[in-house]
Amino acid sequence: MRVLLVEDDPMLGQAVVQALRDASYAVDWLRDGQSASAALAHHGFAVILLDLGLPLRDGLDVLRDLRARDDSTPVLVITARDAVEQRIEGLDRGADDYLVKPFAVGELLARMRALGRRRVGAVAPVLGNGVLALDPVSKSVMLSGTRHALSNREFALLRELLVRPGAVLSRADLEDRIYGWGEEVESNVIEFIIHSLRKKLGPESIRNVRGLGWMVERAAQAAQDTR
Amino acid sequence: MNTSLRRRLFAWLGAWILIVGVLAAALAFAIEYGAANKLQDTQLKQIAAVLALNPLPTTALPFASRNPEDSERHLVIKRLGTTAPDVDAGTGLALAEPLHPGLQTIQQGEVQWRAIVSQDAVGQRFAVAQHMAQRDDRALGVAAMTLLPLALSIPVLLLIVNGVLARAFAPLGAMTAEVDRLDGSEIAALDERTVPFEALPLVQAINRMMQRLSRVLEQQRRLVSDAAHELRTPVAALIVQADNVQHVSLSPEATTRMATLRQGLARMSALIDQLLDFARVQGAAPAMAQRLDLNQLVRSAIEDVLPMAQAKNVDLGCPRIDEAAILGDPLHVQALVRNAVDNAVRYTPTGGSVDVSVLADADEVCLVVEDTGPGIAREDLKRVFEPFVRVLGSNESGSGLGLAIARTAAQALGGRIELGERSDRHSGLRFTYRQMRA
Repeated sequence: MRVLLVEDDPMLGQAVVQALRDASYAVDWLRDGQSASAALAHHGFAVILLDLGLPLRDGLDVLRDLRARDDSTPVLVITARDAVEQRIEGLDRGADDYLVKPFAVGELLARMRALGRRRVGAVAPVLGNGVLALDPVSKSVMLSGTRHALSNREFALLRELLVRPGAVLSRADLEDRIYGWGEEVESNVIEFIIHSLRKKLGPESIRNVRGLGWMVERAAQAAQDTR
Repeated sequence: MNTSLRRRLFAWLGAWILIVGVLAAALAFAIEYGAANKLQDTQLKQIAAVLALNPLPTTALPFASRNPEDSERHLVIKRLGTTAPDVDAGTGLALAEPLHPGLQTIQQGEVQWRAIVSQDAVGQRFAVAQHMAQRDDRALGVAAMTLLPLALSIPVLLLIVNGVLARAFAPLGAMTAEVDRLDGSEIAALDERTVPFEALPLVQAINRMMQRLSRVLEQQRRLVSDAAHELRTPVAALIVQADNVQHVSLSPEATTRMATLRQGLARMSALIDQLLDFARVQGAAPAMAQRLDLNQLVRSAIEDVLPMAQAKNVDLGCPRIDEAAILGDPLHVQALVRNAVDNAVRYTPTGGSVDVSVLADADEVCLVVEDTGPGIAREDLKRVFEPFVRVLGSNESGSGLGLAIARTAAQALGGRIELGERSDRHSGLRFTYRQMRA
């Protein structure tokens, strides 16, 4: 996979190039907005990692030009600014994802993989947090290379948790989402489903947050736990 | 030396009122005294003129006195140049001739008389006389009466002046209170509408200075924010480099040392985030206030802090979470809740617990964060809100900014923070934030 990195800071640029090469990506590194625009006009890339504060040409302008040419290459914006309005502006101009400095390599690679999958247009989007990967077709989950079959309720509950890893969902949230209107919800059924999921996937797979609800861990953190 | 304008005005006005009052009283007294004497002279003349119309009676007249000490009937009528009995015998008035006709003052031993000499219808000369001391007494009495209104008006005037001055200076006092109320976090212009004309230039100058100050503060806040943003790139480079090192096979000892290095980087990164938070809560516009679901924000703060809690094996949970809405800028509420929870987890030792509760009553919402950490000594409770102040004896690598951020955010939200000991049997810190319900 050929990746374009546009980053003006030599130290960060070098470090990211090294990290990407370690992860077997082919990397082209440019340090200003003008040469990035020029390169993008003539070459295709699998993913673009774009810093916003660039010399000669702002990163947002580079992005706008790219989208104006109907180029749909996935763009992961890397920036030091995280004010909410700037994030929205970046996404409005066509960024696919957003990474705020400083970030861990694991996080960067996970986001790039996600963008790559979107590009390929996998028929079934795989929900996961880097450790668990949910397969909606076979209603099963992959954990460290092993496939575990899930019941309908188990699958529905795990899917809700994996939509946004790291978010805590309460019992009411989960009941709302996995039961249809008018369906009778038996008491303790959520605890029961979680108990059986933990039995299949290990007690750490779904974490309880006292008084609030349950969650699965975020991608980078889950990856770190298993390392 | 400071001088009180009001006191000075009162002293000067009071002194002049006294001086003018005394002078006016003296003048009025003198005039009235002269007038009273003249009136008594006129009386003497009229009596003499009436007596001159007929031969002098031989009996005592009702207004004449035999006894000069009798002040009620104070007139003495005496025939002159004859041995015939007096109209008033035995008054002790012995007149030595020759006396010229008309008004005169007669000295007789110790006693002074005021007398008029005239002739009756048959040519008998006579004198009508008044005891001078009695005349003076009466004149003084009359003149003294004129002093009364003046004497009364001086204290009344002084009271009025004092009251008027107090009223006139009241706006200055109100303004002082207004300026005192401003703490460092907000620099608001003073209200110029109610300021008296004379003080307006001063107030306008103060307002201009406040504008300059707030520009300086804003620049400083920007500097902090820009510096933190600038730091993010090199720290990102360091973190990525450290991650890269892990891809190379390391000796077990090097791996341990790398872990320490990575912890340091994580700490630095957290400090930068807090610096940004701090700059943000100091600068956010109050106009951003909106209705917020406190539960949602507490939940998201807990989600943010959970990884740290799990890494430290700290049990982070919510024993009670009431439905509660508040008004505010979401940036402020997020910063407040996140820093309160983050601080609690940070200072709680491994195996401890942190309880986050939202309690709502009829008019207040209360966020309570209780930990099982070492707490804060009573004498440090005030100090810990200062930026970068860390309590001695805690090994934790906090930035020392968490509580400063929380307090700044609380001030902007119009709520208040209390720190104290837990009320239950556990030891630890209890952080309470109260705000009006939306």
